[in-house]
Amino acid sequence: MILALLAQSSLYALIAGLFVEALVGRWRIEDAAWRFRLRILALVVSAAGPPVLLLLAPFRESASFQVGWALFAGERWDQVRVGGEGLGSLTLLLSCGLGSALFLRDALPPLADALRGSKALAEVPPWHGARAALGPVVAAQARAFGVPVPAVRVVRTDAPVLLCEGVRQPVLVVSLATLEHLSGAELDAALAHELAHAAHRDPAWSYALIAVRAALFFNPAVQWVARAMVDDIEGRADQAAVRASGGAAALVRVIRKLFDTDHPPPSDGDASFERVFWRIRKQGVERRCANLERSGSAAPLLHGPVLLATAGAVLLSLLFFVV
Amino acid sequence: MSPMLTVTGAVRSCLLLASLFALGLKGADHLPSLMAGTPYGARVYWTVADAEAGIGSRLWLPTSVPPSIGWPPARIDVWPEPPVSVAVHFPARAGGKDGLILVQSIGVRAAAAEAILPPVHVLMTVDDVPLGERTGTMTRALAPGGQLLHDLSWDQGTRHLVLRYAGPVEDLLQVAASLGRIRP
Repeated sequence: MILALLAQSSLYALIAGLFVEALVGRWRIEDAAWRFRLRILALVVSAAGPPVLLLLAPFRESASFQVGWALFAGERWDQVRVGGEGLGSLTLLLSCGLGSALFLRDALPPLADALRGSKALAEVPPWHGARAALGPVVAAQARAFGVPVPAVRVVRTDAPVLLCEGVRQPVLVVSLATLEHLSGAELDAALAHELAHAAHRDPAWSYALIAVRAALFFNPAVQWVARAMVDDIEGRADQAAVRASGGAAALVRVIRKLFDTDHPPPSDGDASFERVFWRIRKQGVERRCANLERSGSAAPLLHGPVLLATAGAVLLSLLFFVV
Repeated sequence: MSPMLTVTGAVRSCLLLASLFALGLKGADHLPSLMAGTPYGARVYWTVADAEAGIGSRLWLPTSVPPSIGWPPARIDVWPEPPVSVAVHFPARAGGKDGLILVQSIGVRAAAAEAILPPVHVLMTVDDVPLGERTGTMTRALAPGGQLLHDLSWDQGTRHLVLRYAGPVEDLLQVAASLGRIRP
């Protein structure tokens, strides 16, 4: 029974993930907030679909449903034998391995950091000029976003740090290095991006996504959808920042500048994998900047709730016939 | 969203996409049967123990098979819709396709689903073939591939049994007789 639920969860996540991606493409959704909501749908269906359908519609397990009504029955794949084992079981095994690898790839580095006990960054004293200069800017931006003014921590570090943390009470963390590198317009755009995270409670969403990924670590499609949702969270903050600052140019400069400062190009003496990783990250940054320059703030999806409800109903109807 | 796309258009494209997915899933659902050469819709087991656990009932098996037939059964197809019927495939020792198929209904005397016992072109039928205390019906037939074969069918207890074999009729009668001696 547990194996059947695992298999069904993986199958549902794959179908839901592909369906949502196809919808995003078909409907040409550029608004990251609605892409995020559609992907939540895929995650919810994968996590809750199998047990809920088992509870509400147990007849789906019957032979007559599987023979006469089912669009797809996963267990049929065990009829194909590979090395004495059913192909369905082998695929489930490989899928669990892939899902676990994808989860560990993202979970291990922060876990290792936490175990090492990374030192808290030293804050500047309350009378420091940077704190006084940031206060009014953050307050004005917070008013524009309609959120309470978050606490601001200014830290001393050589690395450019600019992030929003805190699940219940958002806190903006800015390093002196960041303030040194950014011009006035760039700082406005960067703070608008972080305040958008605060307005959408993105730190809480990030923890929720990690929890879902940990609970469904065996499910590669869930890992894939959840990673896409992290990109959506960033995209949503980017688009809100562009709307707030009236253009993408400043934010694009910030993204490039902070990346270049924090990740200088590897020298010829560095290991080849470091050069490859740097190039992949750089390509990701360039892709993000290109998207911003192309679509900018992206118009909100028209009739979003209706379309989301339609997508959910159609997806559930489809998955009802997958056993 | 494209500014030209209306709600109706978006819903229509969503339904179209779902239809394409449904078609794709249905097509993919037929692949295992095509790849394994098994009947679509049947549950396939590879051991007698697994099949008996799956249907929750003991299978009736012959105590002797002709020398040309291998043991144990190579595959067991179960048609899960009532009346449940089971096709036990015994391999031919010479290799290749099934040598002997034993089909039995479970719990009720009923003909097997066509999916697990494909129809053949009947050439001749003989009733009242003596099988110990029972009588059966022997059919000489041509399989779709042109192979000559015999079906021997009879009722025993609560089951309807059919033996399909392409070898000598004497062998078929011996297998049927051995089925009469086994566990009820």
